[in-house]
Amino acid sequence: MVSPEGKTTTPTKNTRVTKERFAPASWGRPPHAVIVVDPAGTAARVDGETSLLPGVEQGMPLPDGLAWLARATAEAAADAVHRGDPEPPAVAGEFRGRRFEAHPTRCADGSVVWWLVDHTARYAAEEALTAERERTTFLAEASNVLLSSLNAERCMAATARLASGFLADAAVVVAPAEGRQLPVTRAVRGGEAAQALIAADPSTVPGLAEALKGFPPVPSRWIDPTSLPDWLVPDGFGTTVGSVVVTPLPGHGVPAGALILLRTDTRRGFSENEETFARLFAARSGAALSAARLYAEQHSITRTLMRDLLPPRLHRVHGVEFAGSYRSSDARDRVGGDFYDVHPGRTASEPSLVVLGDVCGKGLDAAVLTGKIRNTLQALMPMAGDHERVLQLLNGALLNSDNTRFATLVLASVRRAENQVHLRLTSAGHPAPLVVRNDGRVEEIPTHGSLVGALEQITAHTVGTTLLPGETCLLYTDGITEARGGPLGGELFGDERLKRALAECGGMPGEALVEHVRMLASQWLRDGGHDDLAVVAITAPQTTHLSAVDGHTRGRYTS
Amino acid sequence: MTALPSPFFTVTAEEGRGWVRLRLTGDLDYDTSHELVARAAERLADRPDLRDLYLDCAQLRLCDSMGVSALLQVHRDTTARSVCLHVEDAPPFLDRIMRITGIQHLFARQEEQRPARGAGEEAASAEQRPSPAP
Repeated sequence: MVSPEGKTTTPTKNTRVTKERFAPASWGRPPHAVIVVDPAGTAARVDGETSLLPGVEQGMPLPDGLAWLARATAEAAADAVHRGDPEPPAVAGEFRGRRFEAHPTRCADGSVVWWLVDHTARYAAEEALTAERERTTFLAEASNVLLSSLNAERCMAATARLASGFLADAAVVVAPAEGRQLPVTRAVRGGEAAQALIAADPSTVPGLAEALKGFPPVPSRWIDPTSLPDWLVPDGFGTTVGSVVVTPLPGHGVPAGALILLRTDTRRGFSENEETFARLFAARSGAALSAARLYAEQHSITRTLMRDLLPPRLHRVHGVEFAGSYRSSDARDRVGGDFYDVHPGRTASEPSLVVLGDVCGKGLDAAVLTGKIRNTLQALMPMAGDHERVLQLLNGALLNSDNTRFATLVLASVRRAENQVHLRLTSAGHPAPLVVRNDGRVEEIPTHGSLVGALEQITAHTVGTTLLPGETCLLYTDGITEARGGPLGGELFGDERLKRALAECGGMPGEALVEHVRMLASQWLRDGGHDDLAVVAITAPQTTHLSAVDGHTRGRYTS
Repeated sequence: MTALPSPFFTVTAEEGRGWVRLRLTGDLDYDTSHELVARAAERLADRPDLRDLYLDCAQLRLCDSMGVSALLQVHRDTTARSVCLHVEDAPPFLDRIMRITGIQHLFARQEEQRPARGAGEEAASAEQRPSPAP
């Protein structure tokens, strides 16, 4: 450093030189505030940017706000006595809302010259940067937490918990009203979120009704915290509410709810910056909530459809054993293209109608077509005696010009007479039913016809047969015969293998036979992908000849 | 000849005066059947003079119910334009699925010009009545 006089003023231990360095008159005005503090804590001199130091008077003791500087002076002076160079380190402190870094230079008389560099702006920038980093981290974490769940309630709980921990002292998520009740999720900082349905009018909270409609939030300072209803403040909040932010949770097209942030009266209110940030958070949480709600809605629609479309549980009807098994190709779909139904005859002497079918395609399209076919067939029950007519009417009902989606099915009219079961079977483009005789023979019933739903004209040929006690007629979809797998993999299970397997099942109860076929398919497929599989067994029950009539059956056999 | 992008199913076209032959290779199933329908529709639209559409199935490895649906759609489209649809060199599995679903009469077969291979089969099978007298 070179003084205006050209003398070398590099700090040395020479006190005389040090003294000369502070000849302020010849220096002009230093760009920093300068205070010379004597050991008694008096401001011996004030120079430079004195405007930064209002209230500091030359010759007067340092004001209370600069007590930190007085302390540092005492330390620096003591240090000088014992150790001399180097200069003591700079100290930092605040004065009248400004932050200073004070750099000391010792004088021989024990007083210290403090150069006060104003770092207010730098600290502010650093703080803003830190805050921004924290927010980014928070938003990233919030996104992770929010998007990891497709459950709307867990999403609301996470929103309340995150918001109460980072943005406020407590947070309340209000979902759009369900009927007359508001689903509310409340959380206090550090606590778990609690959910409740509250019969409350959203218009009692300033800005809430608007936020639930998706209107932009009103500034926090416009909301009077004393006007909040009691239900809004979570248990454990403790003191009174000092400030409130109500912000909408924007969803996909429709508002997903509103987020209310509460701060205690001991904390400062929400800054504009914080309100903006709350909106950023609300946007993420709203998107997650909205996705979760859409998913829930979809799930409930699928469940409603499925409930109606799942094949029924079969049991004995009018003295005939029915057993069925259905497995969809995909656990996710649960309902695929295969189906079966048993429509009992009105009386024991009227035949029951069994339907087993396979709709082409998969997923919802197939499920919808399945539902259509099952309903139509149920409506056609009065004419179930004429299979060809039933199939023609069904074909007419399904035919459309948009596509050639079709179904193949087997109709079976089943009637028990004495201890035998009479069957009339019609295949509409479906693999032929198999009858397992008591002696182990497996017969293919030679019924044939065309598929339904895609052709203008269809044909069908009905074949009759009779089951003796213990014999079973098996209706199945090609999920078993077309199963690819086996010891080498990729091999078709095929008709012949199925017939050979059934030949060992003579006299087996229907339930056991169905289970056996299902097991064969699973074993054949191993872990491989598979098609839907539906199997129905119609069995004439094993009977004992009775000498006495048991009262309500007309036969002389146990039912 | 244009190869379609699917590695599992390709349709290649060969054309002559009044006829188009689509050579099907691979698996005709849920994921690929729409390609056959689209290609056939495109040929039908481009060739107003078309009288015969041949589907060469020699290289077909698999045909599921959606494949059958596609064949029916092509049949519907060709019938609407008075084009005759021929299925050539159907592998046994295709024969079988067409027989079971009762649609083989829709497609003109080579067998009809050659000595009939499966003729009479149906009549024979219909005769065996398996049921013992009740």
